[in-house]
Amino acid sequence: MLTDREVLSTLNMLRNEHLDVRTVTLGISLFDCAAHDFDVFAYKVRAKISRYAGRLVETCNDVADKYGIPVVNKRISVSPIGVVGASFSREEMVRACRVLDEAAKNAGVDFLGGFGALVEKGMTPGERNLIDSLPEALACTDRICSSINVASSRSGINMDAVALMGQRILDVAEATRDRDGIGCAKLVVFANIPQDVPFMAGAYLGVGEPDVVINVGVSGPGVVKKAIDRAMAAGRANGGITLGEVAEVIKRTAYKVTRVGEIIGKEVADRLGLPFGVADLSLAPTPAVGDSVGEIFQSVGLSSIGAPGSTAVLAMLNDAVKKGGAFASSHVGGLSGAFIPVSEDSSIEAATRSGALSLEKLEAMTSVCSVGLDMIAIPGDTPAATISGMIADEMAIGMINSKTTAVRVIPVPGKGVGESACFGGLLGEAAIIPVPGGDASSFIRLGGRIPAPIHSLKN
Amino acid sequence: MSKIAVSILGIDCPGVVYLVSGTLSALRCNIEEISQTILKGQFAAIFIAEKPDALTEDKVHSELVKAIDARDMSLSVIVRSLDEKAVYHGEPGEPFVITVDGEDGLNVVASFTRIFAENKVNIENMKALMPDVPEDQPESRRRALQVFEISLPLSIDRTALRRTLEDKARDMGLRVSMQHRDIFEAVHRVKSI
Repeated sequence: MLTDREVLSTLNMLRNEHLDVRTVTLGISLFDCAAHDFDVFAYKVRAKISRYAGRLVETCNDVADKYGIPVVNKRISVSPIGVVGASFSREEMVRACRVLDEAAKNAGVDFLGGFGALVEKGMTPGERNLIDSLPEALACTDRICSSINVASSRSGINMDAVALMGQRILDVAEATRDRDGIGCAKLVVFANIPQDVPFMAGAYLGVGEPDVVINVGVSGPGVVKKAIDRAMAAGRANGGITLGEVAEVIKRTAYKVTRVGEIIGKEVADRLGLPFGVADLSLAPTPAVGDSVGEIFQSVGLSSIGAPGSTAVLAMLNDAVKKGGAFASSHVGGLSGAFIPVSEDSSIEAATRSGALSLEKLEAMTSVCSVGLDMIAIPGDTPAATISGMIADEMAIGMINSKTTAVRVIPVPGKGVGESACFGGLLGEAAIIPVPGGDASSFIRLGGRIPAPIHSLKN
Repeated sequence: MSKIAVSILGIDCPGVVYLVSGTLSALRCNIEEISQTILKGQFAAIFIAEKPDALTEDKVHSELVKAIDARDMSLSVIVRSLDEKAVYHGEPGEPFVITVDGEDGLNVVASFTRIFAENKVNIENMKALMPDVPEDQPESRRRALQVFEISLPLSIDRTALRRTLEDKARDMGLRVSMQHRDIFEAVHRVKSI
């Protein structure tokens, strides 16, 4: 028999706190589709994606209906195309991207990730062709996401790739100039990319993964915020609450949210006859009010995200989410932590707009959160070397701290600081913020590799 | 040995359960299961017990009434023989939780339970609550929440039932939700999924 509290609390999380499963992502290995002949490759890719993804959306919707929990996005992640299409020319990479886009549309998913490459130590000709194809490929497709891993704690930072990506990000922005450079919202540069991320734009299916697998991304910043608000109100009535208690509230709430992802992911996997991979325990915001990570900072007493103390709050939040979620799920993976994507979070966006949150503070915060500089609109005339320098800094944080970091910045063509870029939907809109001054071009031109760090003598 | 169901309803006070169990025990009845609840000071319980064949339901009833009168308690008693074969066995189903909430009205429970009855949906547990009004939504109107734990027969089209419930709720200015019971247990309890 259920208790009143159990029923009321679940209803409340659904109706007032935006509880949902952010994404069910079907991972499909395309290694068995590799072929010298492009048409054979395209045929095999279409056939395999349609075989496994044909019932994905319908199944997710029915499971969502059964439990009364929305599954907001259904997505597909595939093997890194830089490896699958190692023999492809730049033009063939663009065609491959179109084939994937078509397959994604036929399956009815909103994004397909994996048009990417792992180049942290070096680059094959195929991977180079993929990176060179990005401006055209991301401009002529709608649903394809790309992630390029340029650094790892074991291999160091491939600074040639960092230099190249600074330029390609500008090229992608230019190729999608008419839509405020939206192509860059679908392109992320990573350090230590996990192999099983279900969230876009970083989703891909790594080389050690099963042939086909279901991964789930849970969310729920609104639920965490409301739980903290209730605890703070109760604390005020009963003589105060400490941060230790706030962390406990976050942990318990993360447990509940993750359980929702776990039950839905397992049932979708069961019904499709596929293995369940991981639950990614991330607090992923949307532009909707009340579904924001930034608002959590205000709930614990900061004037806004960006104020002194923000890095400490984020560290506590990120850790408590992992602790609560880890117990709730049989297998945890992906990014698992708090996201701070500027344009996708109304409160974080407002803080950058008002100047309360700067790019420098965002960078500091990425050293304790689960991703990095995410969905940040910067001036369209930012030099490539500056973007490369920002990437290098972020990669260094990830490499040294053995964590995932990433850069997804959008240099908005023809626009400058103070203006806004609008991407629509979940991607939101963002005020363009200034990038650090100074010149990194001579440093970036040096190229080569920054060696991997020593894994002892930790301090 | 045969079984009886004893139902007690009346004003709650210390000693009610002892009165019933003590009387049944003196009559050599073995209590097997009890379900009990209290609502607004009213005590209600069902006792399932095994009785000696020679003992009649009327005798059990009269002994219980005598015991109640002796202690001056205000309780009603029903005693029935229990025929386990006559118990309702619906078709196999899945446990769902349906909630209806909104402004309290005369026919809310009747309107929704009628839909259940017409669809052969058995209610296994139900409760009507008056949840606290949130501070930021001061309202003078009485709001009520009904929670039905039902067994949804496998042959019933879940989507169609949901639509029927939602249409009814919309007509009455109420909100309805329908969720598989497992989600509540998954979220609030430590057990494997």
